[in-house]
Amino acid sequence: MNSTPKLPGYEDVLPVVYKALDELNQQRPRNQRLTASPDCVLFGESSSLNSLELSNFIVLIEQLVNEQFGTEIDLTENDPFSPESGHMRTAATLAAHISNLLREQA
Amino acid sequence: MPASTIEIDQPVTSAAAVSVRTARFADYGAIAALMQRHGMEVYSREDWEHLWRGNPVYEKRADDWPIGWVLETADGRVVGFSGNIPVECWYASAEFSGRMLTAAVTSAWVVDTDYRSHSMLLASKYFAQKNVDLLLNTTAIHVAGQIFRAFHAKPIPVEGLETALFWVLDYRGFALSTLARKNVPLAGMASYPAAAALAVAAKLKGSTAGRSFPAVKAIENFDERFDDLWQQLQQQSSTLLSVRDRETLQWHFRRSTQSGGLWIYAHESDGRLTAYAIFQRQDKADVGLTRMRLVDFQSLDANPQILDAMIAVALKRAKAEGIQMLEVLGFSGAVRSRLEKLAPFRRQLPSQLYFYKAVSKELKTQLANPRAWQPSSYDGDSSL
Repeated sequence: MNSTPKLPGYEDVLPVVYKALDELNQQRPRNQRLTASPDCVLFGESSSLNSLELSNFIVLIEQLVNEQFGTEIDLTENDPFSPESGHMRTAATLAAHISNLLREQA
Repeated sequence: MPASTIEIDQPVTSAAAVSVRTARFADYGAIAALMQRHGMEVYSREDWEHLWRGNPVYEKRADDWPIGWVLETADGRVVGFSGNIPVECWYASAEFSGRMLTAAVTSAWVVDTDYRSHSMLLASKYFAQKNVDLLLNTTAIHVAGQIFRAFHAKPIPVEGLETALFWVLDYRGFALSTLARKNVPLAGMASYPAAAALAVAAKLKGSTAGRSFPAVKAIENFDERFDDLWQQLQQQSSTLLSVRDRETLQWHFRRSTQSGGLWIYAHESDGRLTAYAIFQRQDKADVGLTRMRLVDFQSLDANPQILDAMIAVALKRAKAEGIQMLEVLGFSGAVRSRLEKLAPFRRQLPSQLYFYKAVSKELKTQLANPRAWQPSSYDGDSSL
């Protein structure tokens, strides 16, 4: 009997975002490390990430998604830094966007 | 234009709300002040506007071409800018029928320290452009390079682009400016042994003195013969070539021509132009360095002695005018190999400066081939 493989959803992607945050934290002073939670702000007024960190984070998470789910994604499309709707606002918005991309490409 | 200055080596602690919008010519004052705050060379209003007005490609595309973007705070302060200059490039290969491509060159990227995470807003606008074939950055310092990589841009796949080649004409002056740049104490005293070592190294490498070369002559302006040469270059070339017709060359080098900082050498055959080299004055005033750079070389003739001759006359003139060094960035293939044979010195650049992103899959495939490129300081904004 054939079973359709389960598409990765938000809950599957969030740990990948956390893993990328963990790697990013290794490069930061202990007192400036980000807390891995859905509300973790990546970009915007209250973000503490600079553009070099954001750039490295994007490259890293695209690599991790490719390793984990075998899919190449581009996180720099679709206005990622829009204050209202950009997927780079928080860990949660990013995970939701990635799971949507994975579904679209499945 | 100066290299981008979005150097970020510290975490952002807080940044007030900023938004990004298309830049206007009326923003000149705020943008000039921003550049000045960051130690960048500030062009006069006329020279700055000339990057677009007078640009043959912008003249055709003004209705749908943003001159750049600014980051603006809620109270209207400009805290970031990136310029967006249109240029055209010709590309033809065995698999790609000859086509004029539009490239968007990013230029003078600068963001105030407190707002540097918002550089991503500028990058996002730049890379979202759909009405172009190619996105190009030829002055990408380290951080700009990382941002470009995040947006899936790639370094131009040509070896040697991280290395500048150069000749020293005034050993003591050059040694002084180099030691000053490295903040060496007692640079004046230390410059004597450094200058002597440079002179010995240059002698070991050999010199162009005493050799005979094909005739080349200095010319003052880009005349109609450049149109003829450009047409022939298009027919011969199988690399991506920024447009080099008379009108575009005049626009590109207007500022240098007016300041007397441009040397053009030509090789002729039967009254027609068959090769030229352009050298541009690019001093580094903060350390007292005087410098000419070879910013373009084009030839219909594969004879390497034509390039040798251009270099030889430029070296002679630079020495006579008390200029400390002649430098070359970029180039590939036979031209780069020849320059590597001629130049006695090399220096490692802090990072690869040339990045590109092709919009179409077809062009991406083509430009992944190193043979598609012959980059020089003429490309992008390095010599604008």
